[in-house]
Amino acid sequence: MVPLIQFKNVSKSFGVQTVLNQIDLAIEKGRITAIIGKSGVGKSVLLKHMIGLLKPDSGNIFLDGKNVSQMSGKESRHIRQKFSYMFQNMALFDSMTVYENIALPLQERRQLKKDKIDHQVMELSKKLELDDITYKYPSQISGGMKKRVALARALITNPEIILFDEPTTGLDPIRKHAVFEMISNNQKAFNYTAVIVTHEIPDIFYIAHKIAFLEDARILYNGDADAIGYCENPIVKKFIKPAYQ
Amino acid sequence: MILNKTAPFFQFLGYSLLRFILELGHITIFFTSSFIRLFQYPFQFTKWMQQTYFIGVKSISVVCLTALFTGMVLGLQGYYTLVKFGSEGLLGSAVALSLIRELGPVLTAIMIIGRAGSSMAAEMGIMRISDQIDALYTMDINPKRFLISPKIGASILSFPLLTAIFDVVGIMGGYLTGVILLGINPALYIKGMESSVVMTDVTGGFIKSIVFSIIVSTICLYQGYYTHRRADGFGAKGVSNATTDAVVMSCVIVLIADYVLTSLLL
Repeated sequence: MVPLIQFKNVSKSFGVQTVLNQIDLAIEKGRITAIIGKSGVGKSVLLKHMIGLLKPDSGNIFLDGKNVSQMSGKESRHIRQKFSYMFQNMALFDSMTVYENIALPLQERRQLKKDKIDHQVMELSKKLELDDITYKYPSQISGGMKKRVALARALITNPEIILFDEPTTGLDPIRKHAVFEMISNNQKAFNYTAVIVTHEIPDIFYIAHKIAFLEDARILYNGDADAIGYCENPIVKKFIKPAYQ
Repeated sequence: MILNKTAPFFQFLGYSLLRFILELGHITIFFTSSFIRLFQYPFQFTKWMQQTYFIGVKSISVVCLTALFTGMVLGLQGYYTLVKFGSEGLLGSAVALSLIRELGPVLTAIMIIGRAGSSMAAEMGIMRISDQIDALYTMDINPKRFLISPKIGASILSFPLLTAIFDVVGIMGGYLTGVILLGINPALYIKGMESSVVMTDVTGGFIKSIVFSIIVSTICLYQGYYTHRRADGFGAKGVSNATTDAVVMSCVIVLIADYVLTSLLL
């Protein structure tokens, strides 16, 4: 089976610092893949390459078997419509209300009628316990609520692929669990492909099917989540040790 | 020997020139790609009007105040210069021509740079550093169409209208000093103005204001939009530097463009 997203020999540097060094990675369709690793190793950079926010210095990225660098503008737009991205810092529009933030992709991308947009936004807001704050601005709500608003904005278009950049950072344990549960449940229900960048171990091992471990600009482990405990690489072992204690 | 000593200077000169041309090319592409999207379906009429309100309507008071005092100073200075030659009857035409041809478009542009241009640059810069522009891209919403086009459209609409208001209020300011305070015959003031101002003066002023609107909106938005590319500061510092550069560059280029346009229009 052709992987949905595939990295072949991808390298990326910022000045003298090499963040990705000849990375090979395959993201399978309909699975949850977690990218784990220490802070600042380039996990978000890897994620940004998947959606085209960053371009590799060398190597190729394939989406649905097609080389991204050889795609026409129309093709890459078509592919991008299948994606949603949840940013690490939420990236909510400060001048828009919670409702407007969630509704924006529907208004701009789908041009649906107002009552249909209202219905979809309110239904999702209810699921994420945001229905009481839809009239508020991002600056008027807590960090945890902002996370949920960003999550709602990522889910509202029912995308085929969702890229989550640390979706649970800053949330309390109950909400953290709820977010992971929601990602997992929705993934089962809608069969979307999820790529999650996170530090949350062992929680992520319960919902992810695949794990990629990034360290020193290279992927040190890429395989089943169940098998990471048997990985012999000392760096991986050291990183996941607390999860098995 | 001389060649060895002067080589670094020419190297620097060449490098700076190439960088300037490259930047100019980027700015031109930025404007063109944003301007074209102004006419892309579905039209963003509401957003365009909201920006016109922000750039145009909210600038009226500051433009009126500046225009009134500019006109009054022109009336005062003009009177004491003209009275030496016994030509104080020409005050109306002197004030009107100075305002319509030069001061109206230039001072309006500078006032809008201070009020709306700096704000546009800072808004874009903050959106850039907080990933809001990237978020639009990931939602498959073209950031230039969504953010830049309505602001450029609103500037092109607002600048000429504000220039017209500036001209009228400035002429009234000149009238206030010349006629009411210094006692020039009101008919002489108005008649002098009527006989000297021709339609080409007015259209020339409007052409300038449209060119200035393109310069100001493009430079301010460009500086903010590409805040992340700056080498002289990141985050809040980057936004602050981008805003300063936007204001300084806009003012300087407006003045340079004014000279070029005046040479072409005369």
